[in-house]
Amino acid sequence: MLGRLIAKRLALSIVQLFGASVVIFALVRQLPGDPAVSQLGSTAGPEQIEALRERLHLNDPVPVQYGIWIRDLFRGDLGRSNVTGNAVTTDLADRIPATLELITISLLAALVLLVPLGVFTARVAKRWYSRSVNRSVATYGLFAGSMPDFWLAQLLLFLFFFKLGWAPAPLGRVDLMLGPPDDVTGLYTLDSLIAADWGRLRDAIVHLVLPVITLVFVYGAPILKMTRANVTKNLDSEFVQQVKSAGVGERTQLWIAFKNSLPPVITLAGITYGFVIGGAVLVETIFSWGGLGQYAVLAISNSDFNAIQGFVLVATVVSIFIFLLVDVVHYVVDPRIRAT
Amino acid sequence: MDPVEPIDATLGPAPLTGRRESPFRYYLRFVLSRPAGIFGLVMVSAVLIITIIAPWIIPYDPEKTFPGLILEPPSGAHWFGTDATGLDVFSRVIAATRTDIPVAFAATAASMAIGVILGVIAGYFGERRGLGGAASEIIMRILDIFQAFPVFVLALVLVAAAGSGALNVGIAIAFVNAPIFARLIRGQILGLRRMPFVEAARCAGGTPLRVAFHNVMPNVISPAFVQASVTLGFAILLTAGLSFVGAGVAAPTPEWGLMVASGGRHIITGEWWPSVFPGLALGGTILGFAFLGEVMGQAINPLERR
Repeated sequence: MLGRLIAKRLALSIVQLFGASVVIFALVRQLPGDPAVSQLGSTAGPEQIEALRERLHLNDPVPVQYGIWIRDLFRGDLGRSNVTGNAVTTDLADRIPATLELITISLLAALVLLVPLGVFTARVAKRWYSRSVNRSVATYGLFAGSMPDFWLAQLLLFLFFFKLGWAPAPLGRVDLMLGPPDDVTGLYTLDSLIAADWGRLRDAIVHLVLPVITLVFVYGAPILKMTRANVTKNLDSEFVQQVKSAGVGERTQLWIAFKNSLPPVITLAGITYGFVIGGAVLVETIFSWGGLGQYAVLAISNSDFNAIQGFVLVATVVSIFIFLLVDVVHYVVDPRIRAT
Repeated sequence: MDPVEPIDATLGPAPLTGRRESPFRYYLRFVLSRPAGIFGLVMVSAVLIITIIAPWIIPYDPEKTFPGLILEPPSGAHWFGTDATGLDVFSRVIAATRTDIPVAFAATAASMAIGVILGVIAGYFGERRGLGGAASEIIMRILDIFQAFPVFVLALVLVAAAGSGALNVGIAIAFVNAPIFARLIRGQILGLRRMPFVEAARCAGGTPLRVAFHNVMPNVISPAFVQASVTLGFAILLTAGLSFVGAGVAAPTPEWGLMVASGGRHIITGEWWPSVFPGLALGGTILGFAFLGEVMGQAINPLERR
């Protein structure tokens, strides 16, 4: 049963991937400018351009072009970036760890901080101050949802870098004098842990603090609200009332309510992860993070179409994969879904 | 057919005048009964009024530079100071309402129109045979595909493909928000389409399309308007975000995201005013729409009221 559910879900992901590839292909064809002309420059003669058009298969029917595009994709060939001069796949591989490190740590921080806070605020629901807790959580949610992440990042920089001097300058992931740790995974925190290089580990963490605070504050609110709402609902539910009447202690009641609140929170965490890939574009720009987002911004301001296409592909594939993973985890942890 | 009138126990029954209270008056009464609602309504009204009267209240031309006044701090002559090119920040913050607000409204209206039409078809004909069922299935699969893209990334690429400028930003935002409305309306209709009044309308000879749009749709349109308030804020945020990374409105057009971007380069050397003021205007506007949307959401959902 579980296997069939997962297979069905996998099929949806494949359909999504196929659809997304068609959309990206169509969009990239829409981009202004002739790739042959931009590759050869304005001095090229018409015969040269025509020859290159032939070589790039630009004269073939569109479905054939799509087929060739997919074939190149599977060969790991996304073309060359006009800005860096490298193969787009090389550029992306260099930058993916920076972005993944930032958004993964942000999401973990959000879960570690906000899920317990959600449980705690749900637990006080019957106390006299529950009304003000209610209001605070709702107000935080509205403020977080309204706060432009790129503006919050600047405010934090003004306060913690310019005024107090606690935070490092927004110039990347490590101190330029120190340099990155030996490259194993590309994740600086993990690499310096592997090398037992505590100085660099500390430096990497220090550089992560402000961007992570920004992302957690802006994108974490739904996790807090969802945890709180679900635990509150479950504490009032018949099954918790039942164990309560059986004489089970308050801690265990809370644990049962919490366990049953997890599946929607897991789903939400996955959705947030996909969403933050977009949010990271803005935050990376401010902290000169050197990840995918900053690469995309550079590509867009320079009309570097191969790079744009590569970025969207990666962002979409990661997002589809996360959604798939989340649903599978959901099936595994929630027996009720298997029953239906 | 009139929309189903929400019942609100906390407000007491509407006065028995023999006429039903209009939905508009009901919402207004509800919003004004909550502090959060009043706050949202005041913020949104203020922004809309400023948008209308902007040309008459700005002290300087928002695109005219003062060559001797580079990064001047706020003063009596320049309330919000001047930016790195010597432009008056106050005039630009006010004038920017004329870029951000119309784009957000147009984009939200367009996404709502597209989303509601798709949602009605997908909901009313969902899991049925024939042409309508097929259309419903196709709509849902297309929505699945677009849901795979991170929202901001999709908007970014759409603008990159279509070219920057306010119109294309609006189209991109309408495009990425339409699925939200479609799913919302579809969900509402799925819960409604077996109701007796739908059957009655069909028995009275209504064609499927007429029943779907004329009889069923008015009953589910209220949540779409609530969602619109949230989407308006989100649309402003997206416009600013796209301009921030250089994929939206181009300088020197006054626009909040653009101002936060260009002003932000100086925040690490302590010149905070060119980016903090436009950011405040941006965040405050979105916050107004968020509060209004939250309270209207409570007005619709009796379970959420306390």
